[in-house]
Amino acid sequence: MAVLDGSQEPIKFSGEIDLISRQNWRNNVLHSEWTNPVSHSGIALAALELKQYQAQGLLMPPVEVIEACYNPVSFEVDPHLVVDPRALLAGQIKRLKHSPDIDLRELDDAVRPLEFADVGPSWLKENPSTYVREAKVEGRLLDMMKESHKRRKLSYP
Amino acid sequence: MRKSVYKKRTKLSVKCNLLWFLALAQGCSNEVRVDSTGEFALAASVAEPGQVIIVADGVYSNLHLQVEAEEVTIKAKHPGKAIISGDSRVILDGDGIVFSGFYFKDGARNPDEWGSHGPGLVTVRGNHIRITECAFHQFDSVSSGWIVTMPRSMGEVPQFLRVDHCSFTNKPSFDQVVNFNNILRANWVAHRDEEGYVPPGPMYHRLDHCYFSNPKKKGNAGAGLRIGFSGDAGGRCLVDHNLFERQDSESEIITSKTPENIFFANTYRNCRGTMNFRGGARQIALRNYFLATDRLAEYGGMFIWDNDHVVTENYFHLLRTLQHRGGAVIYLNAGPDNSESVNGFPRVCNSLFANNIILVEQGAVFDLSGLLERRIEWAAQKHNLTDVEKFLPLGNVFSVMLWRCSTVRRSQLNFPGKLI
Repeated sequence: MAVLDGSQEPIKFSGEIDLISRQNWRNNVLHSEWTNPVSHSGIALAALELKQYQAQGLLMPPVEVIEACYNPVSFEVDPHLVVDPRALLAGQIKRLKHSPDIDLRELDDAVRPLEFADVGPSWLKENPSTYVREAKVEGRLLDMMKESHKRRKLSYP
Repeated sequence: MRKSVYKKRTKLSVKCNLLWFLALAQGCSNEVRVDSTGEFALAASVAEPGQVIIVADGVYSNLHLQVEAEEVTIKAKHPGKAIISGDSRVILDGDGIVFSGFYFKDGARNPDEWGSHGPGLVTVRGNHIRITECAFHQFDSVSSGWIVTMPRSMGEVPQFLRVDHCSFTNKPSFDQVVNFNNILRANWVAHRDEEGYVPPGPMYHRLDHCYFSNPKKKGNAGAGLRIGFSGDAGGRCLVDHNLFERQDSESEIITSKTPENIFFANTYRNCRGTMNFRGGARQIALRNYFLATDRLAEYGGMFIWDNDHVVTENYFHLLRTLQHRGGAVIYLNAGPDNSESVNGFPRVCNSLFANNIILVEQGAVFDLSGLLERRIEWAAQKHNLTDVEKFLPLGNVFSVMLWRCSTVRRSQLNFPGKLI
């Protein structure tokens, strides 16, 4: 395990682009305008949620990732460069005068990987596409794709 | 001329009477029930503001539907049981229309009448329209979008469309699945370089709780969603809670070409493309999931142009990144000085990347020189620039991150995150 936190000596590269890239990167961080501290980080909350989702079999990251993320000792937050995502989103929507029928509570509650059952028409309970399950193009779909490509003078595949 | 107008009026009057009888026979003046293609098209064409058209179960083939009245609700009596097929098209012109519960499949439009960047299977020209609970599946091989917004005239932008709880699967043809146009492409191409050209204003559309899964086609075939044409026009669309699963149509899952769009809580699972901030500043990607659950193909993360974005609290877990996009989870594209204000391929500047969790087994986390060679070539043609230093992204901030990858690149050095 290694920590790249800016205090280490950068790995040496040769070549013009590498040197410029590294130099600019350092300068960019130092001179950035994005230095306003914005509220409290949601990272711990996100980590907790990830942990719950993993317990439900919804996620597949290795356990140590979750642990490292959830443990504030091993994952330090830079107080000057964090974002409260809810405040950010609410502020952005308000600022941009989005449609008034957007319910911010609805936006706030569901932060997890989505499954087919969460989206699409309520009457369409089955996954409608064999392509999705198999990642294959065959049968009628294949014929239609060949036809579409032919019209554009492209071969398929 | 007069005769033809008279004929038209007479025809319309007969149609209105028919509809009135239809409504009367059904015992309700506000609600009309239809059960044939002819009745459906007629009811829509002569609908009064506030009318409700209820469509019986059945197959509506070769349907040419155009609704001009405001606040009309058109819904399937039993969602999913009213099927629109054959040589069909739907045009929603009036403001406040609700279109709900239809299943589009088994289409057979005439390819000579359609083309990419033109009208769609469903064309939206009014404001505050909602399309909900509809499924579009393997419709036909004609090149066109499935849902497309089109301005009625130059300078007029359809606004506040909501597309929700719809599914878009197995599109075999070219052009994007959903196109949010704020200008006609021909007008944009013709006028964009003119002095005094005013880009179209914001759209404020929302796309939420939708499902996208579409197979790969050759070349620049059309993403799942395109928002606008150029970075200087208005965007301000909200794309939230959608699932893109094997959205493989081309190398862009979404191509967001306008400013200030928000992408929130979407899931991208096993997609052979990237979510692109393609042009337009001040966009937000917040709490999205980019997941790979198999090794059938290489899958992508984000591909970014333009400035002042916020990319925060996203979760990336990719096994193999897209090699044809350079193999990074997040690409920050290079461009010449001041290119952020230029249409085309603006360099990424002054953006914040914070609190992202990035895991990749084969590939890199970030790359700060996306498509560098191609951009240099492009800029040399446009700006006579060749100096490599002028192309590198500037002013971006990388805050706390958790990341793991197999490849350490020059562009990842000194990130204030934790490598595990």
